[in-house]
Amino acid sequence: MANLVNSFSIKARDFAKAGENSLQIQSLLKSIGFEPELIRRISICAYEAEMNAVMHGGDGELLVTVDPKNIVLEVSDDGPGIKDVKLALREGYSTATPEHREMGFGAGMGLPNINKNADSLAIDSSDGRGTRLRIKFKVGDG
Amino acid sequence: MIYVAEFGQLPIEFCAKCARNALRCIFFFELSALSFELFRFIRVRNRRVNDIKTKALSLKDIKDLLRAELIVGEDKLDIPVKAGTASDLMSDMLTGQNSNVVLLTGLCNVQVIRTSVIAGVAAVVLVRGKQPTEEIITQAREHGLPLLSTSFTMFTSCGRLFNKGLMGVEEKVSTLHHSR
Ligand SMILES: Nc1ncnc2c1ncn2[C@@H]1O[C@H](COP(=O)(O)OP(=O)(O)O)[C@@H](O)[C@H]1O
Ligand SMILES: [Mg+2]
Repeated sequence: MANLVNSFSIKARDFAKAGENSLQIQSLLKSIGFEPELIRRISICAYEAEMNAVMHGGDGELLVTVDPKNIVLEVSDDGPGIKDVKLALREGYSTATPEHREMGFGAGMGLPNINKNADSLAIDSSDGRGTRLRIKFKVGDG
Repeated sequence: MIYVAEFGQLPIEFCAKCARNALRCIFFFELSALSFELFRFIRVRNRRVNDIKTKALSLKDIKDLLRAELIVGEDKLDIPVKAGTASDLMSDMLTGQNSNVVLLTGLCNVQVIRTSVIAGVAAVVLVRGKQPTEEIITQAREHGLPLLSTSFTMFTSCGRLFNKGLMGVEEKVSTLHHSR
């Protein structure tokens, strides 16, 4: 089976559209017919990562690759990057603004939640160099 | 002088000199009877708490209990809602199992709809009479997510549903039985 690759673009601070890509990914995965629990985990990760790019990051891309064994989300943005990735992964750590909080975000649970739901997570980021998340999920026992 | 105190079937006699002892005995008897009553009361109370039928309500039940206005989801009034959750924190909605639950929220923006769809929420109720914008309604309709609005506060809304047996998300799903 050939790999299925889908790309979506993310626009920084576009709160009116924020999260739409992840909803499309969710319905794409549903239409392929993956297990609901796997879809739930992937959708949550995509959504948290997309919201982070919109809120804290910059313009970017959300790439989904589906192969028989894995589903991989690659979320990248050209924003300010994360100074201290280890710190950002801590529950409760957040640099969110009051505006983000008003929308119901900024509790500092996004990255920890991605980490919890993914089979593997790699974060490539540093100050001023943008952010790139590689979130991997195994399909079945794969 | 002879004091006689009846302890159930057993008559026990005390001489006058032991009057104080007898009184003490009666006092302890009363005390043990009281604690027995207390135990029985607690037992009955516990049984009552355990006897509350945890059950799934239909969306129609929820609409009626909250005297809510149904804004989106006319076609979904018969869906079962297995549990309830209340939050203004969308990140919290994405942790834990929130699929097929009703979300009560004081937040009124499009992210509520998107987060609910991602989390697999069965329906959203806006509390304190919040009215959604056209954009929110369009989003909800697009994703087939029932949307209601109630004048009750968050606390009262939760209480009214809980009272009818709708449990929180931490309740084991296996103990639930569907009402329809
Ligand atoms: N794409 C990103 N670009 C820049 N900073 C980010 C990005 N993603 C996360 N961060 C930083 O990591 C912190 C923690 O992120 P997260 O756990 O999702 O919590 P929250 O989004 O609620 O603040 C953010 O507050 C922000 O400082
Ligand atoms: Mg976040």
